[in-house]
Amino acid sequence: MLEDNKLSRLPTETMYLIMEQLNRDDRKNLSKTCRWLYRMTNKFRFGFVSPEWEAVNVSGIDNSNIIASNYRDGVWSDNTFYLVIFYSDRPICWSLNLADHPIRWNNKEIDLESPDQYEPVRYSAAAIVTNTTTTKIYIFGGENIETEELSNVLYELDLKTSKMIKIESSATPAPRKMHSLNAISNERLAMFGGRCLMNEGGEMYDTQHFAIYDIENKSWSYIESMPYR
Amino acid sequence: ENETITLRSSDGIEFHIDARIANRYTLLNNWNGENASLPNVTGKVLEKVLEWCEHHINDPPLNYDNDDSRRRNFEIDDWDENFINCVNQDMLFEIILAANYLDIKPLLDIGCKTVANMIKSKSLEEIRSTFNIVNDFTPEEEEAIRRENEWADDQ
Repeated sequence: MLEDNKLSRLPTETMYLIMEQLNRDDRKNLSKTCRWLYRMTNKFRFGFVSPEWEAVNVSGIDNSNIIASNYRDGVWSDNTFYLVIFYSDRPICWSLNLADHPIRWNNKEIDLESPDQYEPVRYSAAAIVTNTTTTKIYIFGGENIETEELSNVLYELDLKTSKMIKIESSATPAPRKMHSLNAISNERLAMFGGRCLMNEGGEMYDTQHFAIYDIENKSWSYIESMPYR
Repeated sequence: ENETITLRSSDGIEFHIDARIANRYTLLNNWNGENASLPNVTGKVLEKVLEWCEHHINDPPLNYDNDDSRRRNFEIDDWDENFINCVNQDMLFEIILAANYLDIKPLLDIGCKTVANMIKSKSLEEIRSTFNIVNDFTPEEEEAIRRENEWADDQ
């Protein structure tokens, strides 16, 4: 009778202690011995116990200065990270497809529907909505990069056509920055929190607003009683 | 005259040990008593584990809190090396399992480091034969893994 893999008698946490003692090449070698050890070494490498971070070479960045102002600026869909940056004269959609090799930044000019009404913002929040025919990024609010005034602009960027429109919504929330925005079932957006202006003097407060935007009806509704204060 | 406690292995062999050992490794205390016996550790293995514990009875107190680096970087001393090299591979794995079960961390670390040394700088085939590992990859999987590793290497 064939004897079993002796390492498989050891509990997972003990296997992790052994792998901690190995360098990357030895671990790589171990991973190639059988399916079980392949899974085990990868779990160790990418798991919670002792993740091993590696720098990824990202190419395609020139001196354009990709500046993310807020970690809610970027959105994910289908292996791709999209980051819409509002430069003073025009917005550009940067993207990073993690399935590419090597990974590189791509950028795409955005076609503004009404350039005269362009409002460049930072500290805004974005959400991505995909359905069978379209993929759209919604961007709400932020701070005007030139006037530094808070905004409640709502942009819709169609990734297929690269056209961006400013949406006139009803019951639009007050201007704010540093809030969150998330898609719900590709039909609505949920917006939470952010910093609003308290008074004319420019003082800010952290709001607890929770608002839902209906994409079809272009209208906002509010959830009033939140379980906190 | 030191106090002693009695441990009984899963196969019923009794060991009378210095109570200071049980105090160092608190889990051992659970098995002190007339009718208690360690369910997962046989007499043969327990004897080796206790031999190690007795040798280390006067070691400085253990401090394992927030000390991962110690764990990775320690050196096995001569006595421990001799101790662990004198057991066969099956016993080595039994000692690791017992040290894990009884929460005797320094012995567990020595055991794990010893197994790691059996893997270090070895070829794929050497690792397989050392631990009786059967290559169960399909040719397609092997090819996929080879490609994956090429990717990781060319950075």
